[in-house]
Amino acid sequence: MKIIKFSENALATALTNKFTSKEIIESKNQFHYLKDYLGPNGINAKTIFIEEGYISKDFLLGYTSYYAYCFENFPKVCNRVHFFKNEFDQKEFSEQILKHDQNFWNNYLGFIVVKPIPITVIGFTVLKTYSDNNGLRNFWGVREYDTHIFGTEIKIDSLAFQEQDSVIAACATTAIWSMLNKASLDYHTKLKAPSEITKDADNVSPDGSRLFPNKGLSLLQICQSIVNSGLVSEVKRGDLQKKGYGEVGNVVSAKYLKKILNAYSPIGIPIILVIKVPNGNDYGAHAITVSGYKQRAPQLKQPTNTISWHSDDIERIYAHDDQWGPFARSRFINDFEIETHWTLIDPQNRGTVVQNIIVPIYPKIRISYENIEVIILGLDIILTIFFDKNIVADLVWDIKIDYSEIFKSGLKNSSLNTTDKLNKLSGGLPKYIWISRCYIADQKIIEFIFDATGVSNAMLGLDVICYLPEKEKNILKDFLNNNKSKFKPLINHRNNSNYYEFIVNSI
Amino acid sequence: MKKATENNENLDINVIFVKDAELNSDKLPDDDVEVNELIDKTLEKQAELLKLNRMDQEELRMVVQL
Repeated sequence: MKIIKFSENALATALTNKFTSKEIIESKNQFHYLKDYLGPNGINAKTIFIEEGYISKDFLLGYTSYYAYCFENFPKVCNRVHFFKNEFDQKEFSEQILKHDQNFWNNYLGFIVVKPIPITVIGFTVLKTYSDNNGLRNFWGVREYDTHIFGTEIKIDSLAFQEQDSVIAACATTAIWSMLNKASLDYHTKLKAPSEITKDADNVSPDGSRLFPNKGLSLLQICQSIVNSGLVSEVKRGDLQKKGYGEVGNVVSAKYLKKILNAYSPIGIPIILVIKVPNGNDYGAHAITVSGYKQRAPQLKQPTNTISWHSDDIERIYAHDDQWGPFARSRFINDFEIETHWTLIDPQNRGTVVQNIIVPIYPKIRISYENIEVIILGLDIILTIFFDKNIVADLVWDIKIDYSEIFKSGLKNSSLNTTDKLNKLSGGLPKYIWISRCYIADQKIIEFIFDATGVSNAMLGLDVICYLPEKEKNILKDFLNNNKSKFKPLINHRNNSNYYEFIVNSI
Repeated sequence: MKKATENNENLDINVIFVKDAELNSDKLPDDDVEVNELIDKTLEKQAELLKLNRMDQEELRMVVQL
């Protein structure tokens, strides 16, 4: 049992092993990231405790599939390095182990497993997130982990991280592994070790050579591996044509990326981004796992004829990047580039672009975001024409998928009258629903509920909750009825007659 | 034409409506150029959005390897 005061030097020493010197540790991107993340500008660690002889199940799975067969005698036990935000010495720690003092363990910040292999030493890592900054930061992709230290159980909210072990995994494998750490809380989904995830992707590498040592996964192989874990994936492609980021021309705009992260975040499964990062003279394809974002406080916007989104307020994303660390911050530079750590170390500070978004979801969710947005684009313009110059701020839309039980729970606190509440709470809903809320000056005026588990050709509307007073509601109904032939094509769907009737009748 | 002035228990309409707001339920004239342009632009946007559902085969084969 070793207790040391946190410092850059102490962290580097704690991360070494028989095969990896302190100089090598200090040259690693992950070390530079972690010293900042754990330092005073991050989660502010003060003390390190090194637990020796730790058995990591995650490492053992990789060990038995590869390292056990090596001629070199790699040990199977690891070190686990724990971090605390308070200062203490060995004597005090020994006393605390014998007590149940929750105040002491509230200072726990998490741990890093140091694997006994060359260079890629950072194994299973669970570290606390940044603070929620008065609700502006939202880490929707984290879960609760139970950590046991000498008879004491400590719970922390995080998402597991590890660096890429380039022998048995590529960046995409590690990105899937982090995602599965959260998704596997649902019994349908299986958490697998990186070596198993790589095996699940295919029988051979994309270039036809052996799977191990791994040379990377194609987008199709990433999706295959996700499916083999019990989930399905929606792949979103770039919506902007931009040249200069490698052979593939389309990139995902900041607006689209924000909309997708906002839309799928309530399900809580981390989202994988395939990004193009500056790498030497060119760009390289990389995968990261987004588990949170920071949103600025909503601001009033003058009414416009273009649609406004609640997600426009997202200003940073937090992603696990296996070449840097957990919850790595990225900010939006312009309408399609983000500033990642890759940008910061690039001599020309070239921006990073998102090429594809891979949204892992439960198989029962069959309706994608785009199926809903296309309806909302039409409804926005109908309401914009209806309200004309009578509103003080623009209509702002928030499209999200959620569990119907959470939606119902929220209805209990809504301003609906008791009869309406009871009717809606006692009515049946599918497990997953799409909810599109429309706000004016932060006041929710209307919400549309759609079935997220249905058939895309069917009319998916389940309910419309209009918070306008009766008189305004009736004016809106009359307006919709009087302009039916003009507005019906705006409901861009094969079943637009049913949709239109449903909306008019439900308001 | 009806006027939106009544208060309600659900939503403070004074916060969302301008003073003397007047909501109109009338049928819009067929030759309203501004409205027709808005509708046409929205239909174009919807078509663009639906194109995103079509995956590029080249992209699917791209190897993520950093």
